[in-house]
Amino acid sequence: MTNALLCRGIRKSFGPVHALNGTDLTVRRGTIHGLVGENGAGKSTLMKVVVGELQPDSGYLELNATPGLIRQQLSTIPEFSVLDNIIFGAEPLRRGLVARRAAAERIGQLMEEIGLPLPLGAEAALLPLALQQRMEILRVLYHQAELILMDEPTALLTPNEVEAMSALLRRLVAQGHTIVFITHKLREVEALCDAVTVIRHGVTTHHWPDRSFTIAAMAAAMVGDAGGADAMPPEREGPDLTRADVLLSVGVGGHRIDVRAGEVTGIAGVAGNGQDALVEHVCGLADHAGFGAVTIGGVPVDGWPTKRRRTAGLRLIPADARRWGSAVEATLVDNVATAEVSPAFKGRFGTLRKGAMARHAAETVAAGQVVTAGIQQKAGELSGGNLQRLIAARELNSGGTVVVAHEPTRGVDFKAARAIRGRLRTFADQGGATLLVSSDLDELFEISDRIVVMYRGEVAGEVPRAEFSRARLGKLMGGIGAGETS
Amino acid sequence: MIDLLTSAMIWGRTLDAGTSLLLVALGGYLCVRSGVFNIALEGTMISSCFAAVACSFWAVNWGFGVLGAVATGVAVTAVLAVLCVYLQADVLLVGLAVNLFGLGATPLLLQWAFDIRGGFTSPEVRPLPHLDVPGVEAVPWLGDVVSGRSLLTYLAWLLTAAVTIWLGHTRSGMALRAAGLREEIAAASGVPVRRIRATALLIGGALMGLGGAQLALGDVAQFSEGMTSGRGFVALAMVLIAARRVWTLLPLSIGFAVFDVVGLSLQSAGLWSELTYVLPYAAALAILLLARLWSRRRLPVTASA
Amino acid sequence: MSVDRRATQIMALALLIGLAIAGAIIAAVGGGASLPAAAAAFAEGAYGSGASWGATVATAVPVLLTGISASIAFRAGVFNLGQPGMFVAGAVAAGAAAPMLAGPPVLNVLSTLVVAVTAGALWAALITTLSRLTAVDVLVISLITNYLADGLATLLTTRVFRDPTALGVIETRLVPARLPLLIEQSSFHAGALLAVAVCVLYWWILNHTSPGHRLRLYGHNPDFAAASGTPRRRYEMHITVVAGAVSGLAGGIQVLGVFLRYIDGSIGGSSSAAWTGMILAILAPLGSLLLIPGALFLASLQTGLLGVEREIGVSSRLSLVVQAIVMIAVAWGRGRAMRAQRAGSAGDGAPVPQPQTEGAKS
Repeated sequence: MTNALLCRGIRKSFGPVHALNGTDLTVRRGTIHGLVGENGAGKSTLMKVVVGELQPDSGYLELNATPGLIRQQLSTIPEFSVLDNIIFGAEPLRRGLVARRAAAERIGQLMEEIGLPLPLGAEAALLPLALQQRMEILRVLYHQAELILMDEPTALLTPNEVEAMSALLRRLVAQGHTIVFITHKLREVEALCDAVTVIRHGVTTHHWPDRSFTIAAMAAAMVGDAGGADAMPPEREGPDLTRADVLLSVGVGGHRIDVRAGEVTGIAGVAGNGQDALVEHVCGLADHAGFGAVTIGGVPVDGWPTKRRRTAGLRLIPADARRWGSAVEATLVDNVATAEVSPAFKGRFGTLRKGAMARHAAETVAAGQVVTAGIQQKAGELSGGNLQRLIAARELNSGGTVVVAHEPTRGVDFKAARAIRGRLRTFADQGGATLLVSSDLDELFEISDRIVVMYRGEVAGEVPRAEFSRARLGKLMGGIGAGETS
Repeated sequence: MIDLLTSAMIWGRTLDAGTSLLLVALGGYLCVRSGVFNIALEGTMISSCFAAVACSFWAVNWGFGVLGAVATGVAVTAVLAVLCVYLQADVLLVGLAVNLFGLGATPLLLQWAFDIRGGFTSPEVRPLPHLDVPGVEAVPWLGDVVSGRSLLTYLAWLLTAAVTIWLGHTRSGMALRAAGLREEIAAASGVPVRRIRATALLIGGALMGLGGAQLALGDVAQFSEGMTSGRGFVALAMVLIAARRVWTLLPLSIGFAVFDVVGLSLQSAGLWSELTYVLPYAAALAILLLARLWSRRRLPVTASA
Repeated sequence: MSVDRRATQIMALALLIGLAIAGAIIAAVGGGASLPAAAAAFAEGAYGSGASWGATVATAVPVLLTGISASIAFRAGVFNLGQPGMFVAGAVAAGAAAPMLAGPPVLNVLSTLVVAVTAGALWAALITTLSRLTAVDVLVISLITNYLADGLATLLTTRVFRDPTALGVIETRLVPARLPLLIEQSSFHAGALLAVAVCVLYWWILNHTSPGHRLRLYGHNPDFAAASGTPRRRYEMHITVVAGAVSGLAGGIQVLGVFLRYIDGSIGGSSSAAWTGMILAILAPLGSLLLIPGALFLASLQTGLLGVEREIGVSSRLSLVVQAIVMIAVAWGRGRAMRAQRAGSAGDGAPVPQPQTEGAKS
């Protein structure tokens, strides 16, 4: 068999969500095969199907090598030693007791063969991430995997560590292993892979069985560009905004991201490149070392608690509506009021002005066009789209000056998504500022005045509306610098 | 005071007093390590104390007393296993209930079985034997401390070693620890998490039963209402302090036992005897604090990026 | 709504099981023929006479207050079981302070209650601080501090605040003023009105003010509350202190209304009213006025069983057993409900990308 792995038309759905819509993948033995795609494309799901964790709904799967999966979130037991982590699940026994010495010898041999030294006795938690990853590789090798599936292996590695990883993978291949390298980092794919498959929305869109791929072509395929021509976003006239007030500003690496009044500033990037941390940092929900000073309306707010930032005009539409954006067991009225009731609804001695609250809730529901049985309904009973409409209406309707919208339309139906995007745009048009953090390029294209791309916790580039192009953004998202060509 | 601290007899009794703590803590340790936060140590212990006295009385034999205690311990944790591991009832709620049940049912049983209130003792309640260790007993001072201890004391030391070896050096032990540390990873590697937890609970219950037997039959063979006096919670504190090192339960148990034994002699040393009700718990908190400070000194070399 | 009905069903079933087992135990100890007599003695003990009523109400008062205290904490997701310790702290403080606070009776009573409230609040703050310093769950710390509180209470009462004229009993001096009795020669004291007032106040604050609104929403979803601006750690400390204050008040009321001094061992231990109060909070819908009838019910369980003890001779510890069984039944029922709920939504278990942390999977 020349193919280590063959997938044809794999389908897998979880209820209404179609993770895999007929995915194909052909991996030849002894190659490093790149699997490229954005988040939600289906890469991880496919890998789970290959190793047998998930059963596909339909399709053909042929596996001619023992698979081993190294997940993005490592399967390390931090409290175990490196040795124990490697042998866990298949510990060798001698007279009923785990034969660690024998295992250590065997692993020692493995380590020499592939040039991967590790301190076996150390506690895994004490190891830097790069070494923990090596440990995972040793683990799958110890468990005799010939086909190694690596999900975003270089996500948190420094360039030096990436080099070391690449050299290791080549050595492994030289010894007869096969590797599937899942990533969105096109530069690494170009440097390392012998063949590439691109997946988008659960379907294989492109497949290069050899090194005939180019970065540009991969970038385009990853974000869905149909052909060579760059799709231009719909025209939008607007006043010259270069002198408008900066309502929100945050330092990222050496850059400053300024969000101006009247503008929608988009933050693009494959999820996991620092966007979540950025949102938490701006809103005061967590401290992240990689980011710099935050100002709201020109006032530095570092160290301010969330409540104070909100009073200063900051609003947030969080990524997970049911976890951060609402209380599913509470009524709509309570959800609109949030845990911290605004002074407008407080009477003497802290009593609630329930009539006013109810009116405000009704107004918010109407403004957001939320379909509901009434303001006393529990928020959890709303559909995803309606809940998000409610949250958006609440945050945009409560006197804020700058709104951070974090994946505001993910998991939301088309109509609701469009409505929410429209409101985010209107908010800016009426003098507010919108920071839209999204992994959906279409969405960003539709309403942003400029897009800042984040890659590995830093700003990879900034593109004004006039220069929006999928190819360009795809490259930036894939880690290729703004000024480089493929 | 110096007499107190150097008396071989006092230290000997301290070792015995620590045994019940050690056994209960060992049992609790297994449960917690496997991922079941069992807080019902107090209720399990006192139920076992009663069973030990009752069975020893009826059979006029300490062996049956121990068996009864073990069986009771297992029965109690079996309830926890069924309710919490398999039926997913809240482990804290059930733990609280079991503690209450133990403290409430034992006086009732006392009344029902012996028609007596407050406490029960009788010459027919056979206490545990004390063993002389040949060779060691000849050693000056140390011999008096280490030899002549309760049977269960020596058993407890052996069991501590056995549990240490089991958890650290066998497949099932590693699987148990993995189930408690990272349940999903363990399950993905084929570990039957629920079965392992249930097993840990049952074995833990047996150990707690032994602890109850030692408390009730180890010195003066008797049962009195509420005789555990919070030892179950001290054992829980010990489990938390021990974190991932089983063997530390042994020195910890001796440390806490000191308060038990010395406390009774405090008055003669000129200190307030009421301190004996305060010191064990204050000490538990102090040790928890120290343990935390100690572990924070060791800064891990983690994530690079 | 369906959840509430299911909860009520679980409750009712649990109570039935509890009663059945109680009956079985009484029959076992006192003989089967004693059951009717036991039932009569129960009713007599709980409600039979003015004295019984008074006793039931007096028993219910600390249960209600510590139940409110636990309810406040549990509402915020803080599983602090230190109510017994807070209760004792308030009682000891009241017993010690009352004789020392000069002034007319009303002033004396009020200032003593303030001392009790403060003691309970400080103790609660101590528990939370210890939990944070040791990085150990507040649940475990609170269980240990309960014993510490008992021990300190004994120590202080014996060595510092002891009434030298009291022979054979370790107690503080008689309080100069007391909470007035509402019914002559009964145990029905004004503290009962105070307790009811606190419960009503709790209900009103919870449902009609912004602090209560905040508590309710924090309990529903602390993450959402944090995102809308509630500072987590500070808030949880705040809530714990309030809970401590209420339990401390309970202690003060016991001293000023029932015992008229702090008697070592009268409050605390495994039969402490605070345990019953915790159970009340666990079993009853949090923060509603149902806590009042609930407290009365649990109190009548105790006084009724005391009556049974007097007549039939079965130890009144039976009440602990019944409570334990009810709790187990409720835990089982809730576990079942949760499993059913999870099974129902299994279809939604889609790995839709929800990157709450870095390095999300696709």
